[in-house]
Amino acid sequence: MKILKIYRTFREGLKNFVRNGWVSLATISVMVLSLYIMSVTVSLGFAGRSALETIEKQLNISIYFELDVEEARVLEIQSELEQYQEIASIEFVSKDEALDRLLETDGENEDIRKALDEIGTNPLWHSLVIRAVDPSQYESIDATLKSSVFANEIDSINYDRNKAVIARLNMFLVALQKIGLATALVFLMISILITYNAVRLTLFSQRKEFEIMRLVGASNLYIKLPSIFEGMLYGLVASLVTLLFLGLSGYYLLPLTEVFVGEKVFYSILISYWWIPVIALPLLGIFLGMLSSWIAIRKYLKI
Amino acid sequence: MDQEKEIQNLSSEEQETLSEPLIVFENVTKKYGNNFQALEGVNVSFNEGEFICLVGASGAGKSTLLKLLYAEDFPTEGEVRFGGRPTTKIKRRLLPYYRRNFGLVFQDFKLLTNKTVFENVAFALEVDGWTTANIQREIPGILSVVGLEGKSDVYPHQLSGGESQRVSMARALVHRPRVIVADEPTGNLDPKATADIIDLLVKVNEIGATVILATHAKDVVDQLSRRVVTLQKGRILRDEEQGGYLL
Repeated sequence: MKILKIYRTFREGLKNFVRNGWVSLATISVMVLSLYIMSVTVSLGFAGRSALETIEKQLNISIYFELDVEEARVLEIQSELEQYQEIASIEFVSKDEALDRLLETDGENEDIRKALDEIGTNPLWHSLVIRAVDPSQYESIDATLKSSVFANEIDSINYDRNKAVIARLNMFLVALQKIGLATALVFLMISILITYNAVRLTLFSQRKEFEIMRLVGASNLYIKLPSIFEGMLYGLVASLVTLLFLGLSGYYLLPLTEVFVGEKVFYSILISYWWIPVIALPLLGIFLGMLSSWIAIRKYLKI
Repeated sequence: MDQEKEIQNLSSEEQETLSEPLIVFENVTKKYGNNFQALEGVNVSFNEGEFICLVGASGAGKSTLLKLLYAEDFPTEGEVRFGGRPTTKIKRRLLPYYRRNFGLVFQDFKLLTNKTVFENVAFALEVDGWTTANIQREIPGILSVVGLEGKSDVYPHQLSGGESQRVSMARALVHRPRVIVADEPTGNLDPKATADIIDLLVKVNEIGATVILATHAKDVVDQLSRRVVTLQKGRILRDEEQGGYLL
């Protein structure tokens, strides 16, 4: 009997939804816009964070030693540093190796070639490339190195440059997320208002129906449910349309991100997390619709 | 479970105090705002199976009295009891179930214009949780009782006043309520249609339903020669076992 009543009230809600025509369309459009803005903001923030993490993973500290420091001394320092827990790995790059690498990557570059020929000897330093267990530990590692006993044997540490870039990127991401979330919030409020208004119109146009429903002894829930279902339908349809748009955006925009990041970072994110929006968006949409119609019913349906 | 039990109590006959009539108005006063008194110190009771004509000029308080009965509104003072139970003691959310004890008929029919005759009647059963199969079985019968065979698929605007009122009668009767409350049901009808509706009410009463008919149609009341309760300015003026229409 309960299922029968739910079926009947749902059918009435569906009728309201269809009968509202243009109002339904407008309601859904605004809701789609809000959900889309919100989704894009959240995924951009998410993707940005992942990109940042990828960059941080490739991050390292290179210690360049003074030219007069011998290879044996550098190896001694390396074994000493390997005892630190924060350090995941240390790679020794001798000056010869460094030269090989330089020639490999920039060997074609005329200027570098000329400069090397001019000098005649290998001008590069012995270096240690340190990777931390956790990217956030680079700062403390950097500080430790600078205050260590072999600090005066170090020519330079290249961490500071990376730090500035990452900090800027991070700030940009945080700002982007703040602005995006604020915009999304405003639009969500608007979509609640619009849905609320659509349900209100239905309630108004069906005053007579409600009166008759009461006269024939319809329970309060039975009278309210169609409007609740109507709100839920707005939310559901809006979220499905949003998913469609998100899919299209992804399809056309993801190839562009490759150009910037140079890797298929975002594809792997998409492959592992596609189900989150597919589940979360409809739930959010239905919830928003329900909330809106519930507010309208409380305010306008006197039983 | 608890709710279902409470719902049953609202309509079960065994639960009732048998020492008093089905419907009792005790010292009922109803005020709207501060200065308008629709009913004043009304004491009246109706027995199960009775046919009561409620007469009086417009504004005498007939509709108010009926509204207090089916708990659309509540008395300012005094109490209205149905089966020994005061209407004010019914929980708000259970009121709809209480109202299913009544079949209501109004002067303006109150039909849903976007539904067919069949759907209008079916509506009353749908909200009561009847299965579609049972509804399909029940409605042709009730439509033939009110003389609307073959009008199932017609919309209200295609019906005459008399036919419309018969649809609303069918809707009021279909769930077999204990009390039929008819508030000026013939106010918009010609004499022939009026006679049909009154005949129907009499028939229903003969089957056992209590009928309360509010009207100011003198000839209807005189012809029926049933109990007549006359209201005037919110007070009971006369209560006669076999009365006529006197004002």
